[in-house]
Amino acid sequence: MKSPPQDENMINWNAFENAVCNYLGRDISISGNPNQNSAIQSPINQSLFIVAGPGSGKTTVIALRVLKLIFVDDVDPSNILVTTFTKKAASELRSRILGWGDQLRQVFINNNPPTYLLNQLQSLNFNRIITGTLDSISEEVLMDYRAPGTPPPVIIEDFVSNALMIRIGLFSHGRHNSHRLRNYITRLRGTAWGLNVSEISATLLEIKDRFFHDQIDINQYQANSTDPGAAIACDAINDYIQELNGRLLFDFARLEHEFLTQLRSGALARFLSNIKFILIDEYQDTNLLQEQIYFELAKAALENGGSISVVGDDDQSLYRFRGATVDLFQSFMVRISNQLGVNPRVVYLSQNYRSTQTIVDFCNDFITLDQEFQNARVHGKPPIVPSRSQQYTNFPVFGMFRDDVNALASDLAHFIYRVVYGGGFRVRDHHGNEYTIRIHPQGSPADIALLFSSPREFDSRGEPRLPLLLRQELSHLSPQIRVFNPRGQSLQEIPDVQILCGLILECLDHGSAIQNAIPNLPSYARNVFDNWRSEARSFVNSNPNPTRPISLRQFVNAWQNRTPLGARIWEREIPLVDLIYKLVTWIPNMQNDIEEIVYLEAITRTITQSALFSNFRSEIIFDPSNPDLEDASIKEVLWNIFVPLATGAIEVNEELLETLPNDRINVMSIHQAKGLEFPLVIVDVGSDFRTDHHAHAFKRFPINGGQPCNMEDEFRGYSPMGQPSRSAIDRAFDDLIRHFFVAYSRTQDVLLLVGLNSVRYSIPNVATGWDRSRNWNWQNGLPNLVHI
Amino acid sequence: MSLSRRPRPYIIPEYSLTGDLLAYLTCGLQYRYHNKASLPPSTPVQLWFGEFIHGVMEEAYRKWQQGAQFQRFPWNWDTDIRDIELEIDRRLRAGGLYPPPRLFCPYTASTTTQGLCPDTNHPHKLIASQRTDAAINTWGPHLFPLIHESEVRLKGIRSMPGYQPNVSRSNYYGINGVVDVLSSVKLQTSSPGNLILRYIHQNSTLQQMINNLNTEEYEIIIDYKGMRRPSTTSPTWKYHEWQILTYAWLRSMEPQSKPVVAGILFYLNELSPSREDMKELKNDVASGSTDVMPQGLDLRNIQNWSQTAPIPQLSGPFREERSIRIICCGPSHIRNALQSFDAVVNDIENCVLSEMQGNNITASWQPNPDQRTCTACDFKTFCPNPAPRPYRPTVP
Repeated sequence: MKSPPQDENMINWNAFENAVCNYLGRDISISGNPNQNSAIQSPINQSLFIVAGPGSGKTTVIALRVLKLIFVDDVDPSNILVTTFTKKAASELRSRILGWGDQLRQVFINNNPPTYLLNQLQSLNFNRIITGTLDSISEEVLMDYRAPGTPPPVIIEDFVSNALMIRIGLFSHGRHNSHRLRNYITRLRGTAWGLNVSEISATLLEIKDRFFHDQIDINQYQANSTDPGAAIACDAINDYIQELNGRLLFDFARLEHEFLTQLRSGALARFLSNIKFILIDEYQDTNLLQEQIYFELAKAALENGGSISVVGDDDQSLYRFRGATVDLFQSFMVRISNQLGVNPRVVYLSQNYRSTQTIVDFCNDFITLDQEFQNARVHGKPPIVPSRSQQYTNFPVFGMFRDDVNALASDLAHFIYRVVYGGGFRVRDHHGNEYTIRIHPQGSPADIALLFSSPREFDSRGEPRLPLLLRQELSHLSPQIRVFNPRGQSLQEIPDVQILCGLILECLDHGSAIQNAIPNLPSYARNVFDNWRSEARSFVNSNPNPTRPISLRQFVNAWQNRTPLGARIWEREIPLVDLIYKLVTWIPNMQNDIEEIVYLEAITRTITQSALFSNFRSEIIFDPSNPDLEDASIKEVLWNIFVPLATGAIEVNEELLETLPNDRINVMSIHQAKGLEFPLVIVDVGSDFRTDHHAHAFKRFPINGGQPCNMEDEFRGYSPMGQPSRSAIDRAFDDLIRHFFVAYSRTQDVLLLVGLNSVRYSIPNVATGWDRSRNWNWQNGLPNLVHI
Repeated sequence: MSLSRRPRPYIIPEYSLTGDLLAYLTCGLQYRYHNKASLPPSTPVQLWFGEFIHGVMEEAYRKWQQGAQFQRFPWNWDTDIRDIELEIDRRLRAGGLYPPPRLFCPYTASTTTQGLCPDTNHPHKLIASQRTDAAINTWGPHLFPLIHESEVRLKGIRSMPGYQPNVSRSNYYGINGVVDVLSSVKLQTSSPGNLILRYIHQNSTLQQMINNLNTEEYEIIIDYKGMRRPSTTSPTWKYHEWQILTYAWLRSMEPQSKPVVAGILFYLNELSPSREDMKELKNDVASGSTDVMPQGLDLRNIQNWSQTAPIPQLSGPFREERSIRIICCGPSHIRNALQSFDAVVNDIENCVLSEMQGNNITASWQPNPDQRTCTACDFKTFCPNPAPRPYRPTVP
């Protein structure tokens, strides 16, 4: 048998490049795309700082760089660690690597390689590459490499964190009544509006996350703060952390903290000895804690003869409000050089394969309008370059502005209808060129996305917003066009959720006797409960099917009277979930509809998770020898399950909607749209702004830094990062520019900006071309857009 | 002047052998609700005990690894096993999985409330604990010294069956599972009295396979089942065989793996059967649908047992023999098993595509009417095809 030649790669670069170009259809040649070529071809020991503009084929580059290391540099797949920001992105990247890896392997196997190479190729297992979000990788590594006798980390959901903070941090010490704490929280939030216990808890959890993420010296902060509420907040946070410690539970911040601690302590030396290459995607949204984790991993990779690559785009940093620090991306070269002594090569991926020339020009124009913003960008960054290869129509950028939101919803619905079903929407540009906008013959309504700062259907005063009005208008058309907007309504506002929750309450607590006996039940929750009950009673009165062998009324009456029906005895313990599934018998949509079953899951998830901190594990106890248990277990259900449901603390799991048909248009927040692309993108730049009111200034033309910047300014002085270099107001403007840059750059073909005429003609708004010096670069009336 | 098409995200669907494929084979509609929609079972006896016994056996092995003081058997339930049980219970609770009543006592001696236990004399050694005690003390001394790698996560991809471009979700599907691995090296150096070695030697087919290998080294994979030994006539018997054979294939994809000659399943309920288990054992014995038949007193005890009587004490060797199943992993068997699972994936993918084409859930996923499954099913009151007949919602 021929033995492997010394100093020769498994596959040489030329063969790899040819296979990628010819079989995967990706032109990574030096002539086709020199920057992608450079990033992919770099040797294993070359660290990279990849600044990847929108639509620049980032996933392609990451996947092919990993595969090049395996095929060309003979790096074992298990030596490679790749992280990205969301589970979905991680899943997509992993799929890309696995799919292409296997295809390339087949190509090389089909080339009749010598036996030693054939064996090598056949034994490659791309599944051994470590991929995931940082949280999922932290959890897995801490579990797999834990010391004998130590438990694996147990992670809790956000709403459980919130419940623990309310119970342990606030209620157990009466801190929820502290005026000092309220004043402190109000100062950080920038407003006292809507400040209830749940909101105080949420803010405390944000502060707690900042403590971890920014590695705040809490003792120093507490000692130096002149705000009397700060000490109370720190005590509440400490109690919460102690509670987690005591129960051996982790929230995500504590999980990452633990991961870093163990990386530094040497406890994970065996894991680190195997790491040769790490790649971090979406690096612009990294925080200090995460950076330190990445640097520990990088240190190991460098020691093992490998390297680190980071990929990101500061112009697309969106998560300051979750503790991300874009400065860590911008100063990456300096920071890694100072801390690890390595000097990565900078690669700009600026060729845009997604958008038309007009869209690319529009995005380049938008991102450079504000002079001050240029100081916040990576120095020397080139503009994005249109590089879409297939033929396309170079549509202009459109605008639709109306006097009121109802007219806007109506006209927008008709526009969408024409595009989808009406043979196309015709329009002329300023030069008399006529365009027809219609979806691809094999396309679908899912090719259209409407992007909002918030996709909620109602505003804070309960007034309908454009997402709701548009959904209603679209539903009146024939054929109707459905909307996919999982974040449009809170769970408690969904009619079938209201009925189901009301039925449970009516079964468990007929006449609200137990509910009324709870002294400090939040009034908002009480009102929601009453509303649910009312909906449920109406539903029972409608005598829904099935009415045989027993009707819903008979079922509910039997529960209310505690009389067995179809059962011999009344059991001692009854799982709440069991009651729910029986009630679903009368709610057919929850049996059959893809979206409604996701609501049902959210309710049952609340039940199972709340059992973590409950005495009765979400079971109702009927004990003749101890009748108090019944009331106590029902009270606990009201507190632990129904209060979170009523107060909007529970979110649906959007991952469960993967089978939703593509017969509906997407309505989503700009944050949700990150990483996605659509042929037709409609961006709401001002359907809420009738006047230049300060309450919504933060969404269009900030007058202060707002909560994320307040938090940074409050705590960063106690972080190794020190105070931010830019002022709060500048950071708020920077973030708003990035926000709309992300929105606009999702577009493949057609971009339509929508809003009220007040925005078109007067109200200052970053999204419509104003800079922070109040120059309106696009000018009054937005003549740069083709108005429809 | 039409727009372009939105590129479809490229995601390879992942399937777990036990969590997806075996669950789908039980009932397609129930799989949609419990697995794809993540709706929890209201009384998760099987799910909880399966997870619990896996966790306990894993932790017991980790403890055994810590040194000689933990390698002396029998382990005492109060002092050696109970802490492991409580730790696993805590871990499962964090994932939303709670012990169903009368299966496991989660309290300590200092607990003054009765909770869901028969009285306040905690901790109670309920049936889950009786089984962990029996599992660790029956198999631990023989199994733990043979383990080469524990909790090995196996992952692989296969071509999507019936792949159609622009219709199928992906050209591949991912498949995964978790096993413990025994190595021939450890088998060869184990003590002559090792029970597992004895069962391996008694299996002539396996011996022949080992003899025919062109290498000295081989592997055997292990999985635990928190259930009774299925009837040989039941589909489950066959599904478990497919599962082991597929694990063997997945393991063979791992670098540095040795040929997998067999898999061993431990049916741990057999060590301490419940009333329901006894009922089914009696049926199996009567109909001859089990491969491990009782003899002598065990046979009489089973045949004469009535459902109202206490569960008879069956002999140790009989319980032990019923709790171990060896499955030989020949290439043709593996091929057949993979084809069978490909067909299951194809069925699941067709259901998924049906939903994506706009059909509702009950039109896309077929129930599998089987009285035993339906009786315990949470969705039986609205299932379109329950067995043997429609169920009415009961109160409570």
